[in-house]
Amino acid sequence: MPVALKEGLAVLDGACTVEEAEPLLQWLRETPDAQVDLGGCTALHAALAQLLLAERPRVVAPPPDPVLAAALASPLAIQVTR
Amino acid sequence: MSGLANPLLQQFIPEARDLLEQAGRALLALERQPGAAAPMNELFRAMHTLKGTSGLFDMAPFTRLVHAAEDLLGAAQAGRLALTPALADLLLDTLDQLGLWVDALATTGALPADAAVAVEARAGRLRAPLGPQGAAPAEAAPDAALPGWLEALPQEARAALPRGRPLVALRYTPDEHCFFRGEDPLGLVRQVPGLCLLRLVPLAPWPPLDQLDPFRSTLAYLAVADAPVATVEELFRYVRDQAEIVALPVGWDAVAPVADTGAAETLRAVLAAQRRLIEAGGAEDPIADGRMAAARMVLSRVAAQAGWTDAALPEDAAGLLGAIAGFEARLDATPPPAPEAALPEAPRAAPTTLRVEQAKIDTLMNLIGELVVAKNALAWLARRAEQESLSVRELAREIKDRQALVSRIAEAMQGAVMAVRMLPVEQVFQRFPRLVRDIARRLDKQVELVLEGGETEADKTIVEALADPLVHMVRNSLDHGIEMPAERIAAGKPELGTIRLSAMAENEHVVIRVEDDGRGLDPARLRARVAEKGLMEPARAATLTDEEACQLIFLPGFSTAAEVSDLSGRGVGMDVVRSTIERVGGRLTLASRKGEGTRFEIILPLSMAVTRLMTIACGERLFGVPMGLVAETVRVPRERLRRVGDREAFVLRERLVPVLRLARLLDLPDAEAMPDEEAILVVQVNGQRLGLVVGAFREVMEAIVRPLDGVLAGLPGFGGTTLLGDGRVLLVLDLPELMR
Repeated sequence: MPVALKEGLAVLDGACTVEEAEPLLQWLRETPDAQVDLGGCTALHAALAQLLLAERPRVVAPPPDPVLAAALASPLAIQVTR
Repeated sequence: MSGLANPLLQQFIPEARDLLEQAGRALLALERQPGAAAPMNELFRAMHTLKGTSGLFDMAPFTRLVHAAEDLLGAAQAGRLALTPALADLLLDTLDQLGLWVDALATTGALPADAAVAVEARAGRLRAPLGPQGAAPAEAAPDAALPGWLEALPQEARAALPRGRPLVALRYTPDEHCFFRGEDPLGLVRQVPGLCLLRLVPLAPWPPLDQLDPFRSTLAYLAVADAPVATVEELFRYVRDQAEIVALPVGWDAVAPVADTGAAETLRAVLAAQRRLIEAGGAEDPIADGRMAAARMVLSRVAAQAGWTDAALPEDAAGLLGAIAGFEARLDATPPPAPEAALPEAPRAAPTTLRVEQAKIDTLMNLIGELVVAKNALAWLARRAEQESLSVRELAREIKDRQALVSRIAEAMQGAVMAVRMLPVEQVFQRFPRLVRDIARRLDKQVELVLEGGETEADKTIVEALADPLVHMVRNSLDHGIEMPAERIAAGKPELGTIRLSAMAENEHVVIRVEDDGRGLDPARLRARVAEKGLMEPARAATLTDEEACQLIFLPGFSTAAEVSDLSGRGVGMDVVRSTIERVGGRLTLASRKGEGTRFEIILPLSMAVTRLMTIACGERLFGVPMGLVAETVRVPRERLRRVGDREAFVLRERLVPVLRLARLLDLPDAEAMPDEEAILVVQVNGQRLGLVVGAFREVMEAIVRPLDGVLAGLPGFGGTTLLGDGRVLLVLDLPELMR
């Protein structure tokens, strides 16, 4: 199970696919002050990434890929212009 | 990159050369008649076509440079900008650069590695005259624009990107149903090699969590990668319409690197101001913390600006002062930008193509058809001879008939191939308007170049061999011949000097003249000069007629310019020019009148491929001498050969002709028995009439002389080889070299 949803902490491990999006969203809805652990996450599906950005749970361990980590951590200050 | 295999590129190269040439011509015409519409349109069209076709290939710097030039021309065409000589220089320089790149494409199939760097500075200089308004639309053009989001990135993020390398910027906006097709946009973006920046941006404000649909894609992906554009395009080939991929040339982030001394000076001033800010104020300073914080913030900006992302900034005053010192040291260590290095000379001899009229090829094709028929007739004849239905006499007659037929076809083919190799002299002439313009501008002289008879045709080898000697002679005329405008006016001449380059066909020869109306040669100075340089005894120099004195410039080691200028004095004297021309079987003569001008005349054979050779014997061996050099053949009784010092000479029609012995020149043994009569070949070599004692004269033949190659290459004294009728190899003498 790549995504382990525990009490207050979701651990995303290995390759996390689109199938995890529904349970993760459900969990986020139910869990106030949610925390996520991406320390072992090698691949993160876009659907999961956008959930994390929408809800911004506290990331206790960033993903190992620094570029991805920076992307998830960056404040969305960029205006999207066409 | 195996660009050379691309047939489209093969077509592009000659086309690009043509367009560049066309543009160069139009530009020069435009400079003579500013505001003329026709050359302007031609120039614009050439650049526009070049931009369009270059876009087919993976050579963004090339396209970018053409585009910048086109923008400049667009402004000039619309009358917003005057085409000044300085601007023309810039454009000509750009054309040169493009030409060099085309040469690189022709040899390696790719642009040189530094092209992306070179294009930045050049495009910048081309855009500069347009001013900010002019530059704006150019920047908005699709192939040159930086994506807006890049500019909106925070300074820290931009500063963290690798410098000095071309990058790729990607903006990928997948459609919202992409998850249902099994796509993972984030996974796709993360496959981009060399990914160095990634930002995920929501396309719309996030809805409340309970309305969020997890299976709808709502993000745009912005990325910068250190990867080839082609690779990124390949990755996104299935969603190409949703991805915006832009190549970022080196130095795209103009603010970041401390690129010039100006920026470095600004940084120094800023650093000095921070030092004063930190050091200001006494011990009891209520706003000390504020000052430190302000200085620290400025210093962090300085670091970001200069790209020193590794610099750590302490909190306290002492630490900040240390950081300032460190930054100043870094500024000192950054070398000022090197002045743009001179362009390396383009390597010559990329494979050349020859454009041939269809009709000439058709003629060849027909002749091949005839040759095949003639060949078949020989097989038929052989069969008849086998069946012994022919007498020997009949057979001989039949063979002669066939031989006559083959011989006719061979001659016709020779003619047809010659015709293919004929090029108009224009090919060489067309480089001169530019050359003359550039040099005249450099020397502040006013010169008009007149080209005549460019349509005259000559063999490709001859036309190509002409280029260097002509360049040298024209340079000489510009440098030494044409006077400064003031001097011309004082001499009662028009201010504008004229250099006339003309070509015409005369029987089997092409005559090319380089004439100027400059100051001409001064026989008195020439005499003084050869005496001074020890090239000739003063007494002998004094006896020369004025006309003969002018010929002194052909002496090896002669140079009239008191100082060797960078134009004429390239270590190449007129002697080399003359021997270059003689090597291809031509002659160079000179006529000059002090104060009126100088005229060089080159007489070249129309075609080189077939040379008439005189065969001569020397002992057992046979040698060939090009007929072009042979003035006459004489037999001279031994007693008429006189010794003059260590030389021999004889009198021919009241002129003393020095004599050399071929056997000595070639280190061959002398003939054992001294003949009563010497066979002397009188030749015209290096502008001098000389006698060459040979063993015997043999027949004159027509031959195709092949240059020496392989182990024989570079063998001095021999110009090439050909085959004799009996299969033996005939060495052809290079008399100008041998008798030097």
